Amino acid sequence: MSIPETRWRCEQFHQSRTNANNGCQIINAQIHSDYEESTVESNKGNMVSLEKKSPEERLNICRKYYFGGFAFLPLLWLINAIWFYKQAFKVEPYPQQAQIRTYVIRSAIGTLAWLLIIIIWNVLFQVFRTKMGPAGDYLTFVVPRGYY
Amino acid sequence: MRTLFILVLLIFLISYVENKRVMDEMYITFNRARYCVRRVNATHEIGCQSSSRGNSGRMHMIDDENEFRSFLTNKKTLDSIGKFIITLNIDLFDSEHMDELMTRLDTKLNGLLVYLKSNLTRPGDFSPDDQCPNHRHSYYLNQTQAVNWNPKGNGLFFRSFPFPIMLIDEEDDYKLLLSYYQRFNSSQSTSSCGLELKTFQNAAHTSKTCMRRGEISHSLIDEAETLCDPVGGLNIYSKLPEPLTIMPKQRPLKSVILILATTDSFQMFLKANGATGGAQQPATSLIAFLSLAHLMGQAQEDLNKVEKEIIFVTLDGDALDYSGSFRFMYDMENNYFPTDSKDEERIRKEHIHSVIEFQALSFTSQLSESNLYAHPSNLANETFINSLTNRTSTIVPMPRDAPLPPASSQIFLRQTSSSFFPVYILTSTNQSQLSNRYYHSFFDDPSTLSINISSLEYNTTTDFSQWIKSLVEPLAQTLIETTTGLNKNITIEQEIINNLVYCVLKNINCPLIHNVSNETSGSSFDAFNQTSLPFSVNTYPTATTPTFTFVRNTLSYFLRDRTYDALNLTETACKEQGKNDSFRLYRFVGGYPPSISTEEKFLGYCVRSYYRSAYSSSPAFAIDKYDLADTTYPAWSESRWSTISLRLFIIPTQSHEIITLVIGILLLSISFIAFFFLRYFTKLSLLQPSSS
Repeated sequence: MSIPETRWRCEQFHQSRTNANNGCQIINAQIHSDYEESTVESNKGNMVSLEKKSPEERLNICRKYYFGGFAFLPLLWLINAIWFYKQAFKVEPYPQQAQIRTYVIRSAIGTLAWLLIIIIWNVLFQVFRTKMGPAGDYLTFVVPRGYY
Repeated sequence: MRTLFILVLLIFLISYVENKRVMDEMYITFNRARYCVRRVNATHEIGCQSSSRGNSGRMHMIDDENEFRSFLTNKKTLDSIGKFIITLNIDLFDSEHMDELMTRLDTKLNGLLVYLKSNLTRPGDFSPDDQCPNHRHSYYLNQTQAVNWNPKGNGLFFRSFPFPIMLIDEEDDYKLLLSYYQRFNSSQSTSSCGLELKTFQNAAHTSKTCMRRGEISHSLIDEAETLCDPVGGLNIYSKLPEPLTIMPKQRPLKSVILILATTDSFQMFLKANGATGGAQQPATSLIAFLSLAHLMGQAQEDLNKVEKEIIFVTLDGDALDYSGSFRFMYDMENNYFPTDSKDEERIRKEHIHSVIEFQALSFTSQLSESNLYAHPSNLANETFINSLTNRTSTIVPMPRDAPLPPASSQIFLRQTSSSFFPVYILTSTNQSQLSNRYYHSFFDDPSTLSINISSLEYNTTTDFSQWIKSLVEPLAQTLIETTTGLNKNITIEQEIINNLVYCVLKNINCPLIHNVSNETSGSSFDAFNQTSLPFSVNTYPTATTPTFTFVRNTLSYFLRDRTYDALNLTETACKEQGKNDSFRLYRFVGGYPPSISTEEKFLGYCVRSYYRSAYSSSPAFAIDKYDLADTTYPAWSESRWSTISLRLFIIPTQSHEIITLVIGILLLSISFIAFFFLRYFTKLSLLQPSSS
């Protein structure tokens, strides 16, 4: 029951001030997304708004996502590419943008490469699973029952 | 007051309302349907299966050849309907008709329901086995021309079908099915019957794949799930318990006579707790085998004096490529026979004097002959054959080197290059054809043995039981003569054979089995009251069958040490004896009166007998690191399954379906509109938190 209360308090907070406040946003970010929907209007976008971060912070986040992706986590690259797309290409230039742009482009390339690898593997696996014999079975997570 | 009145009225109403689920109203379930399952071997899969959610389609009944022809040529019906469940008279269930049906309908054939109108209209012959049974693993592997011992065999058991096949053999079920079919399928314009067959099977492809997949588990997340079980049960053996051969005494060469019978059969269509057939193959042979065991038990005084042993062996798994025999021979070659016997020397092929096998005996009349096949001719003992055939006219010797019928002995010969001992096979054939017209099918029931099963009592003397007596007595006399040199006119009480016939063919929960078993093992038969001894494909110990317990208890009782009958031991004394003897088995039973020779009657008897059993699954499953794709040994395994169901439902006409859909969409739209109106005209918003 504590979460709705938090939200409720937060909402009251919003109503009292026209501009969004950082303190409230931190509370908000901790809240389950279900509860965020009702506060969409005051928040403008349901992720942590990058506009409210300082350029250094933006670059920092983008770098973390970019390097994190190298740990075989292509989803981080995917998120990075989408999330920072606007910051990299659409907003008015600022000093850190060039670096962010590099990260975003590389993340996008990495994502595509991963997508390609996954698709190729998927096709190969589906085609050759039964032909591989035992290896095919050991690579299968959900063992097919009743079918080869 | 008014509220109370309404409440009482409501309770009153509710008590008059029946609670029925919509599902129960929609489907008519047939619980007693037989079903076909999936089995796999080293190279193939056979049998049938449905998808995991069941196969359904429009029911189309084909009763005779004319209807079959007109259905296949009726392009209009075939094109207008997506999926068919063909309901086929069992007379038309053969490979020719199946081929035609499958080619013509192709993927439209979504399932098959075979029906038997009544027991009186069963086909004249029906065998799903091959024309040359077990030809994949036989003695005659290099022979180009195989003998078609089972010419009526349609081989459907060994084919793989991509759809489920079920069978209804109860007359009531057929009539119910027919009544619905006639009511709803009268014309194209009305609603019609649909059928849903659910026989999903877990196994697929080959034994190797299936066993391997059964062992794969992603630890922590899911446990390994067994998809199939190796086919096999127990090879049971027993002999007279007098320890002539106990260690350190050595067994003389050519001193062991093996008497063989089998305890399994197969049917294409199974039914949980339903009759399995197998009256001629293998029940008749088994009854003769047990009767012979009793005769040998009677003659134990003479037999114990000579240095020869008669070992009674039942093999399990031989219906499918002789797996049981392969295992038996494998055990013998590897010094495992007899199993867990530290007290006696192991038996090797050099020790075997001869093999006598009862196989596929059939009875039609008192004059039914059984044929004696002897092989190889250079080892066969002519004196034995002559002595046997001179005693009786029911046993007819076959010419020297006549091809052997399907029998376990083929494997005994094959694995020893037929150079160690002769085999004698007693079987019922008719000009190189098995006399059994229902070989390996559930139609092979007591009615084929001229037995009226409903009037059969515990001690009814039938032509069949007399015939068994006329068969085993000369055989026993000859055996005693060959082993001891004595000419004894030994006879068996007719009552014992009558009892065996009743127990095996009608009700295994019979006095005989309770008399020869101790209390715990006897009570296990209570669950099988009024069922015949099941003969099916066994996957022991996953699936247990009373067959092994029955054979073990009767066989070892019949071959018991008869001197103990007169000892009047107590149960504790009997147990005490067992503790000091690892060679023999002791159990305390009520006693089977026709078999007891002493005049005195006791409350209970201590039975001293010799009994061993060993797994009979093919060596393919026993050899470490054996490649299951190898065809040296048979590698049959049976799939596991969980749900079997057959349901009938009504398919409405297309206009009916469209109307239902339109009404549904309308109702949905109306409710949306109503909701929007409500929202528009009321200030209440459920999404806003109330300020109170």
